[in-house]
Amino acid sequence: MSGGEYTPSGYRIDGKDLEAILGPLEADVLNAVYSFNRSIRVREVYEKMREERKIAYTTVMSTMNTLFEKGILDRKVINGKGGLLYVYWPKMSRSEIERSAVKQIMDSLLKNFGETVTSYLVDLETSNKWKRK
Amino acid sequence: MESLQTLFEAVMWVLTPPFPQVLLLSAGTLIMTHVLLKLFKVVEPRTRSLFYSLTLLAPLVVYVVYTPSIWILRPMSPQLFVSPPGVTLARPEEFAFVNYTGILCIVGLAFGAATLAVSYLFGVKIVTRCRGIMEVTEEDEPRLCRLVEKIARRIGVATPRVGLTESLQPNAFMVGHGRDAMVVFSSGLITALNSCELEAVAAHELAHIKNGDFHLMAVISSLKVASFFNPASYLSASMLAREREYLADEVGSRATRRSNALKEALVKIAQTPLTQRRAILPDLASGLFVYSQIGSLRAAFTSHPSIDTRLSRIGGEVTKSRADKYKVAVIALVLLGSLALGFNLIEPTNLMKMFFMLDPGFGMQLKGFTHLPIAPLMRSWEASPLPFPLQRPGSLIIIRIS
Repeated sequence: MSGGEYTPSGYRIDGKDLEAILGPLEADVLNAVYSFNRSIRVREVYEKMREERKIAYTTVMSTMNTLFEKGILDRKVINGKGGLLYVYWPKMSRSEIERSAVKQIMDSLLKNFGETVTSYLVDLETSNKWKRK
Repeated sequence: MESLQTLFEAVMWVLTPPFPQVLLLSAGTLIMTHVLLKLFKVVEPRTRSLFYSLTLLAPLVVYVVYTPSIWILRPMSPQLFVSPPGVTLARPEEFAFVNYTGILCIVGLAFGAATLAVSYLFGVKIVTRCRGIMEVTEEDEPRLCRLVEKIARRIGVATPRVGLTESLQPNAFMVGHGRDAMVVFSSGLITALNSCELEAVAAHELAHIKNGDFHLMAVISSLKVASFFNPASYLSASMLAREREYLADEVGSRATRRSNALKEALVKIAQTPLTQRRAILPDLASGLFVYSQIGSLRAAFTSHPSIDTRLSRIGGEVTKSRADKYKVAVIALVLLGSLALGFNLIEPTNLMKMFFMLDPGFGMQLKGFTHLPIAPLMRSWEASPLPFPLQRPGSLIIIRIS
């Protein structure tokens, strides 16, 4: 994986895991992509997700396209069963996405609320030290 | 010298009935049909397509007269026999040869029949597997399924099943018939077109169901396979298919009143820059069992009419004109008359055979050679009737066998 940069468009406080930075649908699709560990077609992701929930093929297709546009997935055209089709693979690992997103968010917080963030981090570290003792 | 003999033998096989008759009659039918339709300015696609189907039926007419066989008996050399009428002659010295062109015709007929049967029984399953089609329900794809349902109601056909392919090439096609009928959209089409254009394309595909194109094209496709060695059959089948596309354009755009949307969709499809590498199995399955591919029209346009021709026909004055029934009757008469004449020219005795052999008292019949087999194959011999009545019962009849 290339270790590229991912800039999240937002951060959802109530989101869990990747959902906090990607949105629920994108996170689900990305988790499905990671579960394959190889390059995959939209249909394979669709069929995997259909086992767990109701979802339209076109929704999966457009979500994977969005993830490609965001630079999280990469793709190429191959000649498959139905003709020319895309195969996708993750451009960034899960940890790379997390690291990149945290970096971007922290940079933004420090830029806008530098003092508050610093004092919060200091408080956090102090309370952690007390807990450890 | 040997190569000359091989060439001579090849020419001999090509000239062995019914092979040359099939080729000549099909080509003649196609040329005559095309000329007459142009001459009488028939533009109505339904009529045109039915006339083009005659080219594919021509070989079957030939087979009625000249039954294709695996073996053929050939005399050792041209021989002359002289006999009073009604007297059994000695069988001429002859050998049975494998009739290669006859085998081609028989194989074609067998494959044609098999194609028709497979198309009705397993066509949908084969295409679904080869092209990776996913069947979707209203639960999976509510937008697409509702759109198809709405158009089906408007056109007046039962709502077909809906399928999707992963292909990036904008394409839609119809496969199967009755309850099995399925309209398939490629993901490239869904991405490329807006909802109005998608509706227009769906209407075009459902118009194929309305026009009964599956049944017609299944028969045409099997006839094409039956005459797989005949270039005229490929040409007429593609001309016929194009007329059915024009008809589907007309019926579909009339039902949705979205002729402009269909035009825009066609332009978008034609402008797609993707070029696809050909894959043998899906191509073969599509060629045999898929009779309408909106995406494949782009390829047809390069060698046949330009996209402008088709666009000008959609919703234009051309499609509004109807073929006059008297005009059609005249064309049919001229066509059949000239073909009968042409057929007679190919083998002058055959029409006479067809008409005069019905009367056993007329002319002469030489039967009974089958009792003297000198070749591996038994065959009854029938001499052609004379084109004139016998004057005296004792007159000599000369038969030349060559």
